[in-house]
Amino acid sequence: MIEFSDVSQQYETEKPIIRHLSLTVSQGEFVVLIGPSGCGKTTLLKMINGLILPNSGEIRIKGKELKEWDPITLKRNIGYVIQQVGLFPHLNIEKNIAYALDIQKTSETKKKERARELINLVGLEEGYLGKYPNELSGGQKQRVGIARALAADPEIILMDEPLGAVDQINRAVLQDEIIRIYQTLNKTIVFVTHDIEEAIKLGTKIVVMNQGEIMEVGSRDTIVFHNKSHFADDFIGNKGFLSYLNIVKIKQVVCSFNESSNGNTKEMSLWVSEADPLIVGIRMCLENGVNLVGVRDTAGRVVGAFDLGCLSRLTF
Amino acid sequence: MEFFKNLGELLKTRSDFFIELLWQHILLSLIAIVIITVVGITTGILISKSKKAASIVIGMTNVLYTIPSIAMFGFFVSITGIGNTTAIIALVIYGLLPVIRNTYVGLIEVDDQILEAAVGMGSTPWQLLSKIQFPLALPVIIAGIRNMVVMTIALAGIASFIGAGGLGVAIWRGITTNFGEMTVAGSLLVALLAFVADGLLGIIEKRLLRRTK
Amino acid sequence: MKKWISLVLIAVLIFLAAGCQSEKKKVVIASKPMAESYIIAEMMGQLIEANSDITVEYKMGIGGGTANIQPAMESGEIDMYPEYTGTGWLFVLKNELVTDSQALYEGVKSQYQEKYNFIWLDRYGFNDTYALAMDKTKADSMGINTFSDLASQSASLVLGSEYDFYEREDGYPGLVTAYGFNFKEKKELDIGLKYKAIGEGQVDVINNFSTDGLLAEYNLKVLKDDQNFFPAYEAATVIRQETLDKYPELEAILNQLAGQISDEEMQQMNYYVEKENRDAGDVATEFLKAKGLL
Repeated sequence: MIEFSDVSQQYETEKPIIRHLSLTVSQGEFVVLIGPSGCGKTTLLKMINGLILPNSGEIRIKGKELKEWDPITLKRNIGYVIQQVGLFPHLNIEKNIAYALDIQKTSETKKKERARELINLVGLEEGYLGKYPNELSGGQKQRVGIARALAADPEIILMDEPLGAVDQINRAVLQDEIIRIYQTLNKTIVFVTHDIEEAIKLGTKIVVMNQGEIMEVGSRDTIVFHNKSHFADDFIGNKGFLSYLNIVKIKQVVCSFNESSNGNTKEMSLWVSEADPLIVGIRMCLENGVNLVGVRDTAGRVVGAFDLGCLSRLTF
Repeated sequence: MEFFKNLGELLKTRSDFFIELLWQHILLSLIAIVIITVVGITTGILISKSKKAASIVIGMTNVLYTIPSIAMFGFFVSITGIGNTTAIIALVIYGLLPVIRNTYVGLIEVDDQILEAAVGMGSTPWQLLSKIQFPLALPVIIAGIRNMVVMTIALAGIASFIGAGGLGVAIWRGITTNFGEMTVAGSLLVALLAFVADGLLGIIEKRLLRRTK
Repeated sequence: MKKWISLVLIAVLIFLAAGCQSEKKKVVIASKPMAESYIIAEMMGQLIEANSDITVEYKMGIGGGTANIQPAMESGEIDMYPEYTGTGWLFVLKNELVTDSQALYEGVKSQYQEKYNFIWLDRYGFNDTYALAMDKTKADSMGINTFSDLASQSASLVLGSEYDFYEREDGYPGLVTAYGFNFKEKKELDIGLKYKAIGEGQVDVINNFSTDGLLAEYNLKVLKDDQNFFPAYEAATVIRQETLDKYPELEAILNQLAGQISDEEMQQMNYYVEKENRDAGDVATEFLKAKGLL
């Protein structure tokens, strides 16, 4: 879907922002770009929809070279969500959401329909359609921002620290919303953040950058446990690991009782749900001084064991 | 007291005269105002693209603005002769500054993030201008136009000095024939006209901005 | 938004169309910014409209007087206006002073024709020349009757006058050479404000004109030009030859005014307008009717 080949970017006399960077994003991936300030993650993002142009190298979007795309058409095919949201204060929510359709001269009925569809998708009531941006809270504004980006049903969505200006509590809620929307719509998402927890939580593929180069690319398992890059290791650190434990569910690491060290169902008195995150299982073991606890599914049936020993033998 | 009684008498008995002048004054001002609005807003939009162009144009109109109005009128008399045409040219030059400047400022002060979102979504330059920038700049632009309208109506009062029509004819007549009431009558009507025009624009402003938040 | 723009454009078009005048018979009469000029211009206009089917457009009170009327006459924006022989001779033609009034009229008439193709019609009959005036009481107490008297005491007096007067060779500069004036202070005032200024005591002496309406009002004494410095300023209509070619009947119509207005009559009419604030047009009509011309 998106391909960067040996791309470099800099502004005339300044330091290079992107150096010889290569990256592939496949359809349906949720790619998170993360790194310290100035690492070039936002620049990389903006090169996808042509807001910033590379000095050298090749970029392909949906198989076509960036140069061959009409700049306006390219942008209309890619959803764009920014940190400050940038809702249009003089238009009501309905018109804000339908903007991408409006500039493509879509009919009134289609626009209204789509706006209604999307406002429901992002978890707001239809009554909000008639309101104006200044009547909404920060979190609500960003929901509208996301709806707006989805209006023309683009295959690719770019998000530049979209939750950076949202308060802590709402941020968690919105992260879940974004995951939900992603799973529902199956879009390709490229997401920039500086928050490690967020990266681990959201991304199917995480890209760690530093000074215009990619340090590490991989799934959350890779990034947390199998970093080849010293920098990425340091950067992700314990915080990343902790996030991992909070995100990954026990279901992923369930051992059968045969494999476990002490496998007797009848003696299990401690149980966790397979939908709980790993940290719940670990905590239960430590709190009770045991090596393993039983695991049930959401319906209550026994599915296996959560075993610390088993855990260490797994290669993520 | 005698003065005001005479003033009232004058307005009553010579009402035809004053109405004719009022009509001329409205016409004169209106033509200038329309030209200024069209040229001013267009110029403001054009220079909003380039800081350099902006500083040159605004610098120039600034200088023109400081030239005393009578000097400006007098200067153009030597080029385009006496009468309404010259008056309109001079009025337009004066009116341009507030409109160009306000249009420019209004446009460039639109929030960067809003512009970024609109561009990122694939707006063409025209769509960006007409759907986003201009509507958001409207409050400032209208303020500039209101300002300009009042100023133009007042300035048109001097136009009779160079042979144009309008209420200035009464003002000037009063001055040159030692007829105080005539001067005041003319001035009063100019002020009234300006007041009414400003009021009307205020209503239009409210209407147009009702939807802009 | 689009609706507004089209409305405005339509309005503009309507106004412009209204402004464009159809092909009608029309002449433009200008006047200087003074009562006398307004009155004479009205007389001219009323006579024309009463005796022909030509419409008259007035451009009254052109700021700067002759300075701005002359170029407008040359460009054809104005067809005719009342002018003074002295002004035409000295200010427009820039000739040397000539004291004989008949020679002056004939001279200015032939040179205007030659140079500008403008025609001087017959003179109205009054001589509105420059004069100097002082408060009567003050003049009497100081024993000032003539310009020479004034000169000898000028060091203690303030002169108030308009820009034109200070600049014209036939004005203040010439006076100084002839009489040796040396005023304590010289103030520059607009023509219309001089009488107020002397009335309020801001100045002691003003230059004025021999047909001023406000002379009696402010109790002023007109001093005698004992050395005959000031030339004649006899008034007459100056009209473009082209206009006469187009409407030959104008000559006869306008010459009905020849010799009809005396100094006193002009002064009286000026008084009506400047002191009694009567409309110049009404005063002109009254005069024309009294003379049987209307």
